[in-house]
Amino acid sequence: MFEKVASWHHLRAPWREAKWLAIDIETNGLDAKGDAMLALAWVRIAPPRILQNQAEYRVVNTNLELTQSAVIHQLSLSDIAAGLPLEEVLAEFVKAAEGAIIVAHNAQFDTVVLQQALKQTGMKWQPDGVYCTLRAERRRLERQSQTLKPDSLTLAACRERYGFDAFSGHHALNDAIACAELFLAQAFRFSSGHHPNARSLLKEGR
Amino acid sequence: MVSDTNFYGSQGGFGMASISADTREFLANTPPFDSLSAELLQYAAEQMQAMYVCHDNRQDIMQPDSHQLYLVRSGAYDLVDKENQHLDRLEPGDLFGFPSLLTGRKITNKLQVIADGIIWIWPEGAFNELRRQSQAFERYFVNAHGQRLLAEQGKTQGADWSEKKIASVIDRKPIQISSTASIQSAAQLMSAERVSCLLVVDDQQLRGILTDRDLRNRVVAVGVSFDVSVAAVMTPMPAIIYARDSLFDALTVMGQANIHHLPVLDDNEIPIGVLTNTDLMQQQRSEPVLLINALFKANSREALVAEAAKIPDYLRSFASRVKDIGIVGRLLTSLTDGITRKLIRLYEQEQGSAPCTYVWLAFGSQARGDQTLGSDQDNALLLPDEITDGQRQWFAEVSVYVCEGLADCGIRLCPGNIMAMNPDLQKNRLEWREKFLKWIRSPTPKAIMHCMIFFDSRPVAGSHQLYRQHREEIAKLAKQDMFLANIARHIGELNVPLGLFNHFRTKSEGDFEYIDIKKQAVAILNDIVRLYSLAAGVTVPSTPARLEQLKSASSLSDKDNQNLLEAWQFLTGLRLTAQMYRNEDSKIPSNSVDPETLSTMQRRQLKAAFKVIKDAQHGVAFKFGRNM
Repeated sequence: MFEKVASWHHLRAPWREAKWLAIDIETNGLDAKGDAMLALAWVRIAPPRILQNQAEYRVVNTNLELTQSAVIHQLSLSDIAAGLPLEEVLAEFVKAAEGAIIVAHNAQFDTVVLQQALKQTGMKWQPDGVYCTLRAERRRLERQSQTLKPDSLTLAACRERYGFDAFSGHHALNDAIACAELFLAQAFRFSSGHHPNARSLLKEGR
Repeated sequence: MVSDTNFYGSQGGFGMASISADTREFLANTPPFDSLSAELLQYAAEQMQAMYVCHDNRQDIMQPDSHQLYLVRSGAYDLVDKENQHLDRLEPGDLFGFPSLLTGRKITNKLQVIADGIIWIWPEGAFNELRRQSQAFERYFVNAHGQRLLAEQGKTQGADWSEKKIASVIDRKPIQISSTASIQSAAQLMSAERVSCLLVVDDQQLRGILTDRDLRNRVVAVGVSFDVSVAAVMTPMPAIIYARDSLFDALTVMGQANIHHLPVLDDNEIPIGVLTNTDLMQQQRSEPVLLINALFKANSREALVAEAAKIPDYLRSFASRVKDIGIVGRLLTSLTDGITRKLIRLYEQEQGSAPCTYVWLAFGSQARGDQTLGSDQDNALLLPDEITDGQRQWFAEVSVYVCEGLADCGIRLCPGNIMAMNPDLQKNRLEWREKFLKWIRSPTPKAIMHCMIFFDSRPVAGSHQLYRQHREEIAKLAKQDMFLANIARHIGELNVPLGLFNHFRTKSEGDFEYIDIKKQAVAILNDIVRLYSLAAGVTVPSTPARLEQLKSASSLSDKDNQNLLEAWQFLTGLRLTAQMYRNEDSKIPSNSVDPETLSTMQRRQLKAAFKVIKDAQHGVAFKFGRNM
């Protein structure tokens, strides 16, 4: 109950005062429901800053066999063996993400994997909101009546529109920071000239 | 020290954050972070925050009292002072904020946003910790703050042995004897001093050299009386070298003349030592020696041309191995000098010796010692006043032989016809004097341009004495206020490619942007140093040597002198590197660079070098232009 009140206030505060947390998850495959979480990265955004000095990246020690996606994110079996138990990683994350608004590119995928993993370990956590940089970008481009090509909404393609460099994709922490930068670019552009609260910004990325 | 738990300091207070590979890589490629150890780089990354900066929130950054170090990660910004005067254009890889960190002064500059982007930020505590832990990091910021970025190259430049001045390897005074002494007393002196050669000196002037070999071949073998004077058996007027020259130059002279002893003179022509080939052997053995020897063993024009054809490839591989690429310019100059002398000698072997004294003059880059592979010929002849028309014919012919020979050896004919084979440039001392006097008295733009070429001269072959007389004469003529003022004005009209906001001004050709390092920077810098040299009567041709002689002896302050030297070293190095590694099908002209292709450090240094030249341009206008 108190959480709901806090969340209500949170979302009605100016967006720059809200607690944003950019995340990225690497999994064993591309099926959010079936695959295991291999790595999780998160970084706090306190607009206009990205608190990279508090960024975290955790590899999960899973006993699942790696499928071909290991090639995509370059995690080796020994990296995974050196990882932490899922419970520990999630406990740390939940603490950091308490009362936060999640920011992710294609956020639905990350939240499904996350909820799946939480359920598996019997933990509970709900963000105050979820902002998807991919959806926000699609909304913005559609408003400009641009025709969208299939690959024009990748994280790299979206970033390029804001003049950001290429980045080494498919590493959870690089992706989380890249996503945080994209979020700030979208948010500052959206909020220019008025002072939206977190809620109206969230509508952009819903 | 890194294991010390206090090391990570309390200022961060966040413990060890995870570092993204992208962050680490960008930092590792950004000076001075590139000089940090892995542990310190990790520390720097852990202490860093990123900030998105756009027009709406630009006042969030650079708060008056929060001293922080800023690094542009993306976007573009202009740094302006409180009167909104533009100070600098900031682009990815650029650092700012450190002057306030170093001085503790209030921040008064502001940012204007050209393109939104990310700026990385370090708190004062982290900055100080990095400075405390890394000398290289500390030195970088102290230099950057003192606008002394060009001094940073010092650490990567080590003088190659062959670049050493001869003065530095001469360790004993020459053993000398008068020309009237007997052969026996000479032999006794050599024996007592345990030397293999004597310099024959009268009134401090070098007359000749006497070696063990001379005693064997010209005395004992022939049966000359030991009472005969040394003058009769010595080698008169031997090849010489100056103490200020490099070991390269010595190698060239010794290899070419096939001699083992080389008298060394100071700037006043007084003998100060003898360089032997043992001295050279004791220096590190190196490949230039082999190349030079091969050139001088060539016993025909064809053989020489065949050896010279190897030079470009050789230089490229040599350049990749030396620490200081500037040495390549010196080596190429030495080789050109050597080829010139060899051609003259080959001609003499076919057609007989020169009928009188003369000087083969080099101008321009060969004179200055900053030749590049693309440099063309700039040479001429200085002849004695008493020369006859018949004697002139010999020079008319040798000059064609040598200039065409040089061209076959890869040193292009001069499109402007500034070559010894041009009859107009085969002049005696009086005629040269007339020519210079005309330029100096009526300094038209064309005359100024000629002066720029002809005042950088050096004798490559022939009589050093004749050259010295000529050079001192024209140095006196040049000290004319009006003439100097005209040169100053000419220099003031040249464009340094640094625009408003400290931004590179590139030329573009199609899709290609470039800066001509030779025309737009090195040449202007050479012009400036030449002007100071003319005013001070300095006659050596190379820009670094001129600066050395201008120290505390002219209107150029020691600090400006040092700045010009460092800028010159940086620019000539950059130009040579660009030329050496130029892609065959590169669309940008040779001697040019595209600033986009440079490293962050090189871009910063290039800007610093342009700044030095711009400032010197203003200095020259102020000091010499007032006499207009």
